[in-house]
Parts: sequence; C-alpha cells; structure tokens
Amino acid sequence: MAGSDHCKKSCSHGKAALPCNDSGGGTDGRMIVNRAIGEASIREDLEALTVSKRLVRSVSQKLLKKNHRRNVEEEGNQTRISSRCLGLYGRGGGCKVGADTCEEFGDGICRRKSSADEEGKGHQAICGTEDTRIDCFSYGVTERFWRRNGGKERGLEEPLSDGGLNVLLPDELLEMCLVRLPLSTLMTARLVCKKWRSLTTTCRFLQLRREGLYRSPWIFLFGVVKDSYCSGHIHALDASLDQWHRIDAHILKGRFLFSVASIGDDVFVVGGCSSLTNFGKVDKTSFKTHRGVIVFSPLTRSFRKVSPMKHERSAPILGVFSIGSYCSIFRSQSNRADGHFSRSRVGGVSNVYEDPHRLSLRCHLRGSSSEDDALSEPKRKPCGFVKQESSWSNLDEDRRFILIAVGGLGSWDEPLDSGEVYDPVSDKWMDIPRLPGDFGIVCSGVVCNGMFYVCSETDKLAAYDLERGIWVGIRTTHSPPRLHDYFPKLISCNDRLFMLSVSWCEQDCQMGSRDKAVRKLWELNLSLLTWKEVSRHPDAPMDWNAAFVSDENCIFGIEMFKIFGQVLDFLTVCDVSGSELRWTRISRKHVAHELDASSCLTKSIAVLHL
Amino acid sequence: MASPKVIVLRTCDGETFEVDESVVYVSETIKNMIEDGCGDGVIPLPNVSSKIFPKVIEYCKKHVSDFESLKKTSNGDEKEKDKDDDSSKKGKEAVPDVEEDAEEKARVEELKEWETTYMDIDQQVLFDLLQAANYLNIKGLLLMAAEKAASMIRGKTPEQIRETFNIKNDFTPEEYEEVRRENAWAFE
Repeated sequence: MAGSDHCKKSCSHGKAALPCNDSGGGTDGRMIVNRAIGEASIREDLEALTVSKRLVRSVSQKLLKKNHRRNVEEEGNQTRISSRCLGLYGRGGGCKVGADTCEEFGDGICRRKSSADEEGKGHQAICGTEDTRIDCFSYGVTERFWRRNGGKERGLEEPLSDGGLNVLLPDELLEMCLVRLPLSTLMTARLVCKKWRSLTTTCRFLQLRREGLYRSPWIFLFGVVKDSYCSGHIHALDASLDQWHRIDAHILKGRFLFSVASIGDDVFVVGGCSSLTNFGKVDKTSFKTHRGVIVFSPLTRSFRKVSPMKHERSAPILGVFSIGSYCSIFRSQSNRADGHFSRSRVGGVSNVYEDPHRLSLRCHLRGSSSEDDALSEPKRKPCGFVKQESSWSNLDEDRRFILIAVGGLGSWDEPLDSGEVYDPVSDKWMDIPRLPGDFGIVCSGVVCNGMFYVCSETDKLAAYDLERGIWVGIRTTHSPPRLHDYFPKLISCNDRLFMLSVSWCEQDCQMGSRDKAVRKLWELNLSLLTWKEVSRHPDAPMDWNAAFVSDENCIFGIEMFKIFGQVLDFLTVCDVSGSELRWTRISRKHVAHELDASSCLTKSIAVLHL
Repeated sequence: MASPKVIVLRTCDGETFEVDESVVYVSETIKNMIEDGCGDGVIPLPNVSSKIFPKVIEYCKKHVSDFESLKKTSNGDEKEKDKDDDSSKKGKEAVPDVEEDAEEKARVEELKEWETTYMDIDQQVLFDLLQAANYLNIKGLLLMAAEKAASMIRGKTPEQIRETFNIKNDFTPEEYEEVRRENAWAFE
C-alpha cells in the first residue's frame, strides 16, 4: 500500500527539522531535500507576515480562477510545473510541495489521493499541459499542483471564484452526496450544472441509488375525474417530502375503469373503457372496452404502448409475479385450449394436470415453438435472454416480472372469468385457464408466494399457480364476515396474505355500538388456512371503493368520498413488519378537493420506489 | 492488553499530532499503515491538513468505544455491543435485554445530539471533512458528512444550490430548457 511506502521513506529520511512527506511517486532524494529546504525558508518568511499571507492568497486565487476556466488562460503569467517534476507529484496524488505550503494560505487544503484521481480524469497532467513553466515561487507552484485539468479546484472564500462543491470534491464524493437525495431534489440537482446532470444520470449512479435504498415510496393516483372529464391526470405523492405532483397523461384521456399495477420502475395501465358518444366523460351508455396496455415510466415521464390483451377488459384484476428467469412458466400456445383440462374443484386442492408439451420460458422467448427442445430439456436452466427494451435494464438479470390479468368486465359489461398473463420481455400475452366454474365474480386478487390469490364476490378463495398453470381452490376455515356492499380486498406483503374487509364492529368495539362499521385487516395463515384479525383501520369506511396497494412491508390505502359538498381524500399506511400493526395518515395535503365525486368510483393507485 | 500506545502523525502542512492508537484505529487507512509496521515512526498524512485533522480526531475519539468493544468481543470478552453473546452467556433473555435496550437507546440519543452539534459546520469545513474522511477511510464520518451535504441540497432551487456551493451554471438556455423538460414534472 502506498501508505507504507510513504512511511518508510519518511522514516529513512528522519529529518526532524525538515518535513519529509513523500508523495507516491517520489524517489528523487535530491529533489526532496531541495524542496524541503525551500519550503522551510518560505514558510518561515510567510508565517511571520499575516498580511502578506492574504496578499499571496488573493494573488494565487486570481491565478486559480483563471486556470479554472477550462483551458482558457487570460493572463500570460500562468505558472506550471514542468514535466520533469511530474515524478514527484505523479499519479495525481498528494503533492508534497503543495501540501506543505497550503497552511500559509490558511486553507488547509489537501489534495485527496484516490483512485478517482488516478482514473485518468484527464488531470494527471497537472504538469503536463502545453504551457508549463517552472515557477520559483512555491505558492504559485502550490496552486498548480492542485489543479486538475477538469478545472476542479478548491472553492476559496472569494465569491467570484468558480470553485465550490463542483471543483472541490472528486466525483466519487460528489456522487456519494447526490445519491442520497430524494427524487424531487435529484431532479432539481440535475439543473444545477452539466457535471451534476451527467453524474446523476449514469446507469451506475441509478444502480447505486437503488441498491443503497435511497429511494422512497411514491403513490400514484390514477383515474381521477375533474369537471366530469377523465382528464388523464396522474397525481403523484412523494411520500418522503409530502409533496403532490400532477402529471399530464394525454394518452389516458377519456379512459376510465382501467386497472394499474407497478412493475419495476413502471406502472402498467391495463384495459378500461371510454365513452363513445361522450368522449372523456364517465358515461357507460355507449362505450368501448379496451384491450390496450399503456406503460407509464415516471422517471422518464414517458408513456408507451405495449401489446394489448387478448380480451377487452375493464377493471381487470391484476397481479404481478416476480420470478427467477429459469422458471418455466409459459405453456405452449398450441395447447391453449381454454381451461378444459384444468378446472379445479373449489373446496380443496385439485389434481395437477401437467401439460406434457410445456415449453420453457426460454423457448417461448426465442419465438420458437420447437417442442423437441422442450422435451429434451425438461430441466430448468438459467437462461440469458436478450432484453428487448432498455427500460428493463433496471431489473436484475435473473429477476423477471409477469403480469396477470383476470376477470373484469367485457365489452357488454359482462363479468369475465378468463385470464391472461403477460411477459414484458417478450411483449406477449398468453391465455391461462379460466377461473373455476363455481367461483363467482372475481373482485380482488394479489400475488403471494408465486400464487395469484383471488377472492370472489361470494367470498370464495382460489389461487392460480403460475408455474403449474392451474387454478387451485382454497378452503379456509371461515371467511371474515363482511358487509355486502364492501367487497374484500386482498393484499400481499413479503409473502404474507392479508385481506381488508368491512364488517360490523363487535362487542369489543370502543363505542360499544354494534352499528358501527369498521374496516378490518385480516391475515391468512397459509399453512393452517385460518384468518386472523390483525388490525383495524381507524377511519370509518366511507369509501366502498377504497384502493389498497402493498409495497414491501407497507400497505398503502386511499379513501375518497364526498362529504358536506366536498370531495376528500385520505391516505393511510400500515407497516406490517412490526409487532403492532397500526395505520398512520400519510399526507395532510388533499388533492381531491378539485376532483369530482365520481373519482371515487374510478380511482386506482399504484406505488413505486423512486 | 498492551498499554495504550501513542501514534505520531504528521499532516501535510508539517504539524504533528500525538494520538492514542485506539483513537486513530478508527481510520482504516491509518490502521493499515500501523499494521504494516509504520506505527513506530511518524505517520505522514499528506492529504490531511492540520486544520481538519483535529475535527477528524474528535470524531474518532467519540467513536473509539465502538471499535474498542468490537475488538474486545473478538477476543471473547463480553461487551455491551454484543448483546446476543451476552444473553446466551447469561442464559436469561428478558431482563438483560431490556436493560441493555434502555442503555442502548440513551446512548443512541446522546450520540444523535452530539452528531448534530458536531455537524454544525460551514460548507468549507464540510468539504474538508468529506475529503479527509475519504482519504482516511472512516466510513461513519464519511456517511455523516455526505448526509449533511445532501441535506444542504434538499429543498433548494437550482439557483440556491449554485449559490450555496459556488457553482457556475454552464448550461446554455436551450440545454437548460431541455433538462428542465426532462425533469419538469417534479416541479409542478
């Protein structure tokens, strides 16, 4: 390590009177001694004269300033060390002379020796620029040694200096400071200067930010209606700074009753309706149901269309699977006979019917439907697939997402029992078997532990096993009792399954009144299949279409309703990782007051970490 | 245990400092130098000035107990940090944990307060501290300083940030517009 080299050299010189700090490259003993003597005398002189220190400083500052402008020198008396000194101060590392005399300026500046310096940022040639001249005055020398070609310098007290954070700190350290900024501040930081912009937009930086867990949850509110118009606005709440932002999404204008799901850093907007006669209004007298899927990327503020679903659906029930790339989950399309082989009986685990022609995901992606491949490679292998879209580069190589859409209402407003899955990488939708016959109308669903759990309006529970491609019925000991108007909502956090349902308050209720309705959070014990009440929502359930979404350990909920002539919204969050599950309010700032009451019906939310 | 050893360090401007070995051990860089055998002579710190060094040492002194306890636990002694070890050795789970929890909480509170005072510094010192902590490889200090720098950026407009940190706006008006458009929705 360089440190020990320094140490040994200084030990060997051992001159108490003269400082003997060696930089990494110095081996010329003669030069060191000469320098040392020179420095000692200069220091003595300068120490005595505080006034002259300032003078010296201001002169050097002016020179600094000039040199700071990249490769622009306005005055002829630039002084630089000639290249024969390079050896001593090489590798952009600590410069002995500069270091020694920095005290005179009261600046205490020290060049940081780091790998960042050495990485060829173009400043290795402090001494190597075209106009190098030897300057006998150490103070002048000092400043030059510190100079990096990028013009990075110490910001000195003089306000005219271009210095400051930019030139003072090496990129590494600057990155370290910028990476922990919340997204809004980061976006502001990009406007400060070119350097900050370039530093904060590299893949590496974004990766660091993601891995360092510097991101915070953002809640996106979709489907709002304003002045009876589906404006396509998206309201985003930055939970960390408690700031609402409004995003214009023209592509969503007129669309309502779509469903949203967050995948990676994007939000998928799936299906929905739009009025044919009265475009833009929430009007179902004559309407069209969409198959289309739009992907919203908040980070780039962009929208793009991906492959539409196979069936038109409004308000489909969505779920997102997160799988390893080696999982074979897709079935061969040729065997997609809708559901005749996989109806499962509700009330128990059904037989597993395996598709003998099951293809691995890899084959499917390659677009080949070579069944021979599948048969000869029954084992799963990790596959390296080509990412089709750059937006997926933020996902880990071996982590993939599959979107599932089940149920919803069809073109004639009929409840659907079909389902399909979507692979973002191959941009393909694929049918899956229908819901079990006696299941009923699906009203909520969520992915948990590789299974897409769904519950019906008649309180039945089933799950779609993605890997085996079948529905299994789930019989629990008893479903939580509930009010009929409020459909239960399934939520999953970290492989735990929860349900939110509204029921009458029981005897242990504070008010002692049975007439009070309360929203309860239940957790399903996945092995025993029993429901247990784990929390109660503090707010009265005024919104029968309250939206809940989970994000890692937290369940976010939004309730919106009109009361006393005003539309109000309430956002709450519950952290399920603690021993006590309590709901807390997120934002005191209301966004709904400008919205129509019908937003309550059409709203949906998604949560992203940005 | 060896008697407390004093290490002599010399900053880039020639000043020497004598510091306890346990204190300087907080710096990975110095620790490595000592382990490489330089602890007997004067350790040079060419990238640290005598102005910022005392500030760094202040941090090290405050955090030396962390390192002391870590060192000792690796030697098998019981230390407050190694709670699990304690519990299992004592065989009781409830009471010692609660006591240690309360102790721990108070310690954390006190540390937080100390940090707030310690970090009440101006921008110049902050930058020096960042660089010194980076060179001396003191992770905790580096993170603290980075967080402070980040807090100085938060909530400011670009112009305010430029003012605070003395940065020149090198965007052309067109470029600025472009960047603004890319990041605009954060400002609505």
